Amino acid sequence: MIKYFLIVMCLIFIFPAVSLASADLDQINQKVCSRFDEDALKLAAIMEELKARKKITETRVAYGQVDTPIEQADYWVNFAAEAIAYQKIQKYSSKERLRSDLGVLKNKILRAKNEVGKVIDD
Amino acid sequence: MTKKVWIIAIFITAIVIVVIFNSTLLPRGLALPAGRLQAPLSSPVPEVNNYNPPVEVKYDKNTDLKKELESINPQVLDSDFETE
Repeated sequence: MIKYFLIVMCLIFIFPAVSLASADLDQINQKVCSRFDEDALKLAAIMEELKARKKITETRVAYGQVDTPIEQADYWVNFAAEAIAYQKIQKYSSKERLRSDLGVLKNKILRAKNEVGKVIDD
Repeated sequence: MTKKVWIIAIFITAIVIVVIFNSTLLPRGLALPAGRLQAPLSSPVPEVNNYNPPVEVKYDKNTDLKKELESINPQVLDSDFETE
């Protein structure tokens, strides 16, 4: 009888602890993604201004087929923005997994930054 | 008989404690603080979460785009993972 009681009491404390931990990871995910969102917005604004200065009025490329450095940069900025949106909806139960995925996302943004840098230098 | 009563009592206690920890499981009417009246809802009302519209960033021809680009520094900090 006491054995059953102990098992149930353990479940009572483990269940809310797990759900609270997931909520914490979700908060962390949203906080970091919001910060990355600002970076993506800046990259997009830089590209808009660059195209205005070079008098380019084409629409943004989303599915590859990039021919010019500006289209290439546009593609990677778009790619980074979509990756951030995708990351925001992910749910995590492991801190290490979340950290790893956020690291991958950071590198995608850095790639976009690099591509935009090439266009600015031109 | 006593054993069955024990099992049922423990089960009910467990459910009550889990529901208290996770108040979203409570029906809407029970979640209100005592003493507050609420008219019965005729149809479900969507919950409006705090919506923060995205910040608009716009540059003009005088902006140093290279400097703006260098200010972009995405980082995943250890402090992000520290619980408050």
